[in-house]
Amino acid sequence: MEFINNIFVNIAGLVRWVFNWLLGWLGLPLGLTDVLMTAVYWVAIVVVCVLCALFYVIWERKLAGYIQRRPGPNRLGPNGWLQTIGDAIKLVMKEDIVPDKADKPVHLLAALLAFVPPMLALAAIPFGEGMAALDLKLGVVYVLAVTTLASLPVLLAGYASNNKYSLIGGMRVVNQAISYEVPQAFALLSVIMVAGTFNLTEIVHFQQQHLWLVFVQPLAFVVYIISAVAECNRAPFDLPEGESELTAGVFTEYSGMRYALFYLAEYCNMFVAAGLATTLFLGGFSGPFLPGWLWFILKTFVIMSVFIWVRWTLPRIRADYVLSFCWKILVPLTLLNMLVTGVVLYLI
Amino acid sequence: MQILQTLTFWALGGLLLLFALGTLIFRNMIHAFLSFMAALLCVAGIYFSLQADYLGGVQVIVYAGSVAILIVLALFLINRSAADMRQTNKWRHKWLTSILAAILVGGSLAGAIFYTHFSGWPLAMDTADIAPLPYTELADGLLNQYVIAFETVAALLLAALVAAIVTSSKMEPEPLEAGEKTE
Repeated sequence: MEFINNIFVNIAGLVRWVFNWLLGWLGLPLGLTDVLMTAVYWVAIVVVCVLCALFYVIWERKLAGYIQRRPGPNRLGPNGWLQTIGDAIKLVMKEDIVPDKADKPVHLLAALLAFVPPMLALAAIPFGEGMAALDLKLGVVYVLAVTTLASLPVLLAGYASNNKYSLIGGMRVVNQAISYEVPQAFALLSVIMVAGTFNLTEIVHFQQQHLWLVFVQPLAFVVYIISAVAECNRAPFDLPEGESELTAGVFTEYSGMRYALFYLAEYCNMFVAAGLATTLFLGGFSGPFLPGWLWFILKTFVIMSVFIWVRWTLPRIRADYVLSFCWKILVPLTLLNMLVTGVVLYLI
Repeated sequence: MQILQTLTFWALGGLLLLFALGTLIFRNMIHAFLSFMAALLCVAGIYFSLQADYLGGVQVIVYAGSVAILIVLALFLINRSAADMRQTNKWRHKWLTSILAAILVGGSLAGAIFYTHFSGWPLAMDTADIAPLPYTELADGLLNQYVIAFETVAALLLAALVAAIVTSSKMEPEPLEAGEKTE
């Protein structure tokens, strides 16, 4: 049991031992192990990113099917579960069309950069006890900072495509991301006030000792989930690609693999948001019987399913409602929540 | 940890210089902004590698994150298509101003470096020796002791922003409605 719980930590320890042995054998300085281990961590994060994206794309299509009382994709593989892999192969083989008047280097760069913010954020999220690649003292600040950057590749895509629909979509992304960052940060702040630490692992330990913070800060949890949906540009906040007004929004001029990168990055961003919600509100990797990392996966799965459920239930909101909802309802609510939290903490 | 830190320091430092140069020499304004953002991220990376988590996070949120707004404002103010964006970064033509700014900034930086007493070259520094930043003291200083100075700076920056927009855009009076009177 203990072994399965720590299986990934043990594997990392084994890899480190092998590197140490190899470097000693080659006569190189042992400090290089850290450099090599950093590379191993990054590879692991990339693998997690890709696996998540592949799984959640098909899960979204399946769940959407169930919600709409249809089978969903059910041809490729057992009950259609290999559909995403087939789609990915199709997108790779498609022609990569770049508009003639586009800003070509930025057009490419935007697609490549889309994956960077979620990968950087995943590095700090603890998947299990001692399973964070970067166990920063200020993990929450780091994750918030890195997820701020997620809107930039989409804006660049909008600008570089040299297309009016794309540009409007890109502007909307920034508009939305900047607005919803404010209630999101405030919601997380009230959690930090209760836990008394910025370190993600310590916040999980706090919840192990006391109780899940979702019961202490239910309002912050709801606000966080809403702003996470808005930051990931998902319905009902999917105005940047709102197909009824903007063709395909920012992605109008993207095709083939470049489009696939954006599409997969969206799921990685969602996974980061779900992972952060799990860590901060749902007790992270803590839970009885099962190993910690499995609890983490299960909890993120539930939150991801909620994201998908919301998407297939609610219609798209009008642009001005999106902003007035953020600034007139969410921001005052979170400020009030912070005030109440502060007063209660002061009195206790 | 020493080797990793040294490697990151030199790699990020080199990239930082390259991107800073790129900010000046790219002809397309958007490319210059991107290069500027990359330079800011390099600085954040150096902060992180020196265990200054808070400073790194703030650097990313406040500086690198706001480049997106910079790009949006630029696209609003400069009405050109993406293909016609060359010659939007005009700094290369203002060489006199550039040299003056370089001398001023470089001179003050050099002075600051010259008069600071360093305990060791960055490479010889051991991160274990650095005391963790007392965040509570920082918060107390910013929001209690020096709160008026802090807020004044914020107000000043806002005024500068508004002034920049007002001076850079020619605002024409809106045409009068049919029934409206002139004053």
